[in-house]
Amino acid sequence: MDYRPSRMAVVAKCAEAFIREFFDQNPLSHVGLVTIKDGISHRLTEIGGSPESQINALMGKLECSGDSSLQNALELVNGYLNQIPSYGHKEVLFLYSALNTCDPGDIMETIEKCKKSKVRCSVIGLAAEIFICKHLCEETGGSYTVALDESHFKELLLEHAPPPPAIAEYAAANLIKMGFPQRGAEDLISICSCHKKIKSGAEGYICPRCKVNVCELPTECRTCGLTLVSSPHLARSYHHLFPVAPFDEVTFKLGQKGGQNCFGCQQSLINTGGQSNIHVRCPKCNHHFCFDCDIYIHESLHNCPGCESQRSSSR
Amino acid sequence: MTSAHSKLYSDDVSLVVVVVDTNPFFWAGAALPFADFLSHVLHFVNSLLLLSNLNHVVIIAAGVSSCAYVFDSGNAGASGAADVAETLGKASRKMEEFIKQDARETASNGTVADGGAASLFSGALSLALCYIQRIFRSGTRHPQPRILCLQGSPDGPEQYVAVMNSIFSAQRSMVPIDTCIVGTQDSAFLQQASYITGGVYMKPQELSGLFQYLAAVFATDLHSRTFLRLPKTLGVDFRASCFCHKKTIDMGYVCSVCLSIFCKYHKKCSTCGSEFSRVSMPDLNSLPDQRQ
Repeated sequence: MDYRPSRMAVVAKCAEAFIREFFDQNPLSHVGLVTIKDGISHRLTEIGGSPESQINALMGKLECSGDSSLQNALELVNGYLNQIPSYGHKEVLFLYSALNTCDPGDIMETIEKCKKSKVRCSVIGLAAEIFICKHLCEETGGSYTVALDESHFKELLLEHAPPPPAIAEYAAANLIKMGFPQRGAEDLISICSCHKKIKSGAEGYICPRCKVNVCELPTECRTCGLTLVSSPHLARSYHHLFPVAPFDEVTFKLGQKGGQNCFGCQQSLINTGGQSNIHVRCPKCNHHFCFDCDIYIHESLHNCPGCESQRSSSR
Repeated sequence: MTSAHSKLYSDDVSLVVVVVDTNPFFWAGAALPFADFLSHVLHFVNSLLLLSNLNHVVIIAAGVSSCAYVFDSGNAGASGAADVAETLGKASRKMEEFIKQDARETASNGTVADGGAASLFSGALSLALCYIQRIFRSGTRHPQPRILCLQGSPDGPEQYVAVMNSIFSAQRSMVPIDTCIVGTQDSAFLQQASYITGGVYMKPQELSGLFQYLAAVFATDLHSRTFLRLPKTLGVDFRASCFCHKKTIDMGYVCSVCLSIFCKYHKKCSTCGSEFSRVSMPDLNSLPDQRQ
């Protein structure tokens, strides 16, 4: 069950894949990294909105030593998460390989504190199931899973990338002021506020409030503090608001008109072997699809081609 | 942005899915008649098939009330790709049938407002992406897919979410979306699509020379594109439009629950119904020691 070349290397690699996937699914979220070593927890990177700084830290040399302390980690994380605005959902994900925790005080108190600050804690274990992790996850509403091998670990980790259903009481709904910057003019030369390098206006974006040059989006303007995003960042999450209805399974009946080819990819739905001719059908537009298109539509595309190809009365 | 990766197959074999706008409201008032436009496109399709006998072209028509597959070069009979007349004939006939069917559906469906009606591009893009996924599944030896959109009618704002979903899915599968605008106005959706997926966006000035534009810019496969200087769009407008008035804004308020955009402060979100409270500032006395 040993992870090759070493557990640390495997965890770092999977964490890098997770961070890329996480920012792909949640472009407006922030991630920070914390390590536990010799019983003390250290902050590896600041909580930020750009994947590059997190991945650079993971690529660096990470060493393991000493005991691990869940309580110290929770205290540190709690301190950092208390700084974020009230509309944000707070979450911690532990990648835990130890079989115990050496704490300076009563960990149950810390768990109560996390519960009060509405921090959702989840744990992915690499060794065996530990009671205290299970208790922590149950109390705070997170999920506890234990990996069986390397590919299972990656699968469990990537399951944490799509956002979980949000509990309404955990974060207040707020109207957040955001800016949608445009690219600057070609002939405008200015110094960008993030790297302090000279850049032409066309290579960066201009903050609509303070007119300063920023290099990439999404970011927070360093001068006036306005959150700057572009509309695709918000649009990436709209598919959660308008999900595709699950398709019904149907069997092919002889003499049935139409429905012989998958509407999406035009593949024939009639199995020449005469075996089970099951395929799927959208309950709203009644078009037939093959299983592969069904998986693609629900996991990646988030649009039903049949419903989009019809002009319904709501358009 | 997207670089072609070398494969076991041949680097320059491509699958082109052409999405043709057949909106009758637009073509009725267009400078170029639809029949001429169609002949430009079909000659372009033939030239693609002549470039390599492994090239694969699919045409999807985007109408006002429906979308459908019109032509698939993989279904051509044993005559081979070089039988020009047969390809043209088959495609024109199917296109005519589709347009008649679409017109019948539009007439029976009384909710379409004429003039500003948009084609169902979201449906056509979704069909194109499903077909491309089928090609990906057919094994490691497959052509490199790309999508070419020929659009003339204006964007339909009700299709925004569906079009953005298709764009992100195309970006993940590394399928570039090229656009050639055959109308008078630019399309913000397709500009964003081409920018995000790494495709080419072009609005030709002389529509009577459409075939030449298509053959010069859009005929090359993805691997050879790295050696060409293709038209670059100067500035894609990524500003959002507010949900209340649909006007473009550069600073607005975003609901933290459903991410809808408003231009003014509201007490309640009109999309998800959440009531807004004031933002609570973080407690500055509880900061842990900051390392410089």
